[in-house]
Amino acid sequence: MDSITQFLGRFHILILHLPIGILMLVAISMLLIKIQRTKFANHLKPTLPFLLFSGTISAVFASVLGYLLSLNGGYTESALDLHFWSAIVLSIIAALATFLSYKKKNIFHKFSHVLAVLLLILLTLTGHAGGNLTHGDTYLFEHGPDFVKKAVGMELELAPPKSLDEAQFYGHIIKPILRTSCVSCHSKSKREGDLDMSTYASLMKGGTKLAIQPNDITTSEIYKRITLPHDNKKFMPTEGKKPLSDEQIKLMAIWINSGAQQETTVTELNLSTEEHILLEKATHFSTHKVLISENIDVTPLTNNGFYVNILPSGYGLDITHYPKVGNKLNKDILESLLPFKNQIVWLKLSRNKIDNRVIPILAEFTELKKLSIDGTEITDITALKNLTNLEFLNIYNTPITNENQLISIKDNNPKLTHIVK
Amino acid sequence: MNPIEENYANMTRRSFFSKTALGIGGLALGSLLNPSLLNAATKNSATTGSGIPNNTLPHFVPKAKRVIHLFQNGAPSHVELFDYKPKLRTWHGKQTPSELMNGKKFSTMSSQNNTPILGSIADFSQHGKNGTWISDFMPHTAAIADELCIIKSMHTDHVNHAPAITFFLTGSNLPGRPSTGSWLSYGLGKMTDNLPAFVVLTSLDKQANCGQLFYDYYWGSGFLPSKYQGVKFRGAADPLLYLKDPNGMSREMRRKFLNGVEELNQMNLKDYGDPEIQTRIAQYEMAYQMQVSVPELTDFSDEPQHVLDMYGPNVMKKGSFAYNCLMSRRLIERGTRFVQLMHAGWDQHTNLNTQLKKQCEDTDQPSAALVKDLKQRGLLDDTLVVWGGEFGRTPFLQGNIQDKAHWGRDHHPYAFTTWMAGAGVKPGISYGQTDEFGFNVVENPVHVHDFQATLMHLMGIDHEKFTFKHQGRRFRLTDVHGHVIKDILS
Repeated sequence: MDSITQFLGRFHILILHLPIGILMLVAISMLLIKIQRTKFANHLKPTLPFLLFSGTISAVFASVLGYLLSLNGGYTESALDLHFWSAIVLSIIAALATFLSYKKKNIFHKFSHVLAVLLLILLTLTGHAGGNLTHGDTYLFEHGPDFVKKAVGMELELAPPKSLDEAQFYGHIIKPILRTSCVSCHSKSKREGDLDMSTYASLMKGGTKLAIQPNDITTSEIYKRITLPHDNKKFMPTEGKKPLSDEQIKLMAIWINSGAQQETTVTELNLSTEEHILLEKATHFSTHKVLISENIDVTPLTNNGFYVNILPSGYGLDITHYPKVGNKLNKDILESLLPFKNQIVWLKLSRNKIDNRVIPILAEFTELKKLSIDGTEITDITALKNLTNLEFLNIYNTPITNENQLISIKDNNPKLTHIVK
Repeated sequence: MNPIEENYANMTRRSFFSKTALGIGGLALGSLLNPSLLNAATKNSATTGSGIPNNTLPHFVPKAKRVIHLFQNGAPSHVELFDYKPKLRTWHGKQTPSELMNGKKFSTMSSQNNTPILGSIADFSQHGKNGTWISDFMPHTAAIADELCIIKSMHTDHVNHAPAITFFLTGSNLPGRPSTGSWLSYGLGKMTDNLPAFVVLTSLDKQANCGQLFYDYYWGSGFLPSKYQGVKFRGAADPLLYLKDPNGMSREMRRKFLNGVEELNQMNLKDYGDPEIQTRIAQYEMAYQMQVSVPELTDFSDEPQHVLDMYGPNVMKKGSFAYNCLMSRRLIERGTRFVQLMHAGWDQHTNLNTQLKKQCEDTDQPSAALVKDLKQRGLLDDTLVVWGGEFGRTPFLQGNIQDKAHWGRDHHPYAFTTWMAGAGVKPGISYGQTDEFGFNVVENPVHVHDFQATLMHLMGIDHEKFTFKHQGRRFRLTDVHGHVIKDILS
């Protein structure tokens, strides 16, 4: 029996398009007749009873099949109810219209526009509710423009932040965690424990218990559940899904304890250094200042024989000059880098035939984090102490022997932790 | 018939119109989607001097800019070299527990019914700050233990050499996918015009005893344009042939000749749009550049004696592993992005007692010297060195336990060891564990795809986003698998 209901039930999907098409057509015809009263409209008039009759029959048929399909479960009841009842009302209205069109023509023509509008509304409602049942309630609008999404109350997707400091704690950090670990069971349509975690508003509303109590992790049900022993029945995520990592749990705690706001950014939270480091580790957002725009034109550099690597998210430029037979690096060529001195973060001039004359130029690249001048003829690097962002300096195989030079540079550049000599 | 005439003959009025209409429509659409498409010299091709085909790469700031992959073809025995299992000696001669053997597939070269455990033929001792156990067969590698990130929990899907090597290098066991080096040079472009971005060095097996072949598809470009395939240097005598122009051909004349050929090729490219024509143009140009750059590259006379000594006695012998290790360093110093150094000879089915030590002697010192040399030059900061084979070797014996001279170990895909050193990986650590026989991985398993994902990550690439559409599907190096091993990242 079960299998036969299932078999028949699935024809619902096929048949349902008939009442939609027929009743839509007949409703439009009814409106046209009402509005125009033209010759063309008069041609339509005699078709109405038959069309209404077919529409009604197909609507009833689709409803019955739909009922059979719903018997097999798999649909959320609240979502199903709307579809179910609007389909029944639609069938009744269609039947009423059919009856009037055959037996009470006067009344029918008097009220045909009311009937038509009713039919159109019910068709839209039933169809939309049915569509949401199969595709989920975000299907229709999820690729819509922002104003459409806002209008239907969907949460907007945030663009990735330019840097960690600009990241929104909820949207960029917490929401992705919830989405991977929680929302498969706590969504608008599934609602385990009556909790929907798919949007900020529904999350804060909570379920049978209050999910998030701002500023207090001890009474926030979510935090309690994710920190229970893993074998506890109430531990979340349940059913053998991957537990949240220690870092993710700490991030949840930071967020809840800081008020669990939707749009607060990382900077606004005034986090401790420790918390900041944790964030850097747990997210992929850049933590550096943005030095370049994406459409920077570096042609002048490549034309001068430099290899240019545009590091992503505005990190800066990575420049190398490989020594090449018949293509010597000299002071003039190096000067062509100067317009980019605020963008270049890594510079590698290893094994080029350059000497102390280039040092005044190099000393201008104050954003430099890595500098390799190994294998060159440079002997005096005292001027490089201006490079206060320097982290890595390679002077292997250079004639630099004076240790005092290095000491003075190191004293000036606290970030310089890696010297190769 | 001449293919051009053939093309004309087949071109009917109908196909002409449908083709041109499609072409113009496609062009219009393409330029709508990407306005820079029809600007002959787009900014990106200018920025790299060579053209980064994918301007979204790298996805994030890379830790490694270069890779040297010391590929140990034939599969070194993990239980003799890096995965210290004292229990093997106490169980020596006893049958391998059946719960380990059940359901496992092996190469079928050894008996499945008689699998006595073979105690490690090498002694181990502890090295470095963390007391890492490393075989006494590898004294030089042991001495750099504090530089190494040793992954003891590698495992793979394939049990025979060629499929497993192809799998390790290209992400598929079947030939035809782009190798890791091709993906990287396609994605990141080249850093110099003088030398190829992706170079393959093949070493001579000292004893030539294993008959392992280096198939060209180990460094093939698959469906990527073939200019991204690895350029192989010869494993003996001169690494490259025909560097000198013949008598009477001056450098200027060569230049003029190549310019002329390029013009002809460009005409053809305009007619047919075949990317292989572009490859041909690029390769002529690369060959011309290499006529100058390679003699300088291969001239070791500028290396000080103490550096040569580090690499051991074979360093001046062309085609030796030591020579190639030094060559690798010289290549990456000059702008090569990916060096794949192939070394065969590890396939000890029947000669573990004689061959293993010989292969170690051949490779141990140069591998360690390379890491040390890169470090002293500051290159290890952004260069990744990888050492390892395609799988491990069985903890049990292949052969007769009485016949010590012919002891061997069979192929073992369920656990093996690979080490990395340099850019972006934690130095001086071991990651993952096998059971007490070195048979199965029991902690932090690292599948080959995980390894590849991690390597991509170090180069600044998200392996899930870096794809190439071919025959209707977007392909990745890691197929649909692979997780970055975050725990080993520094």
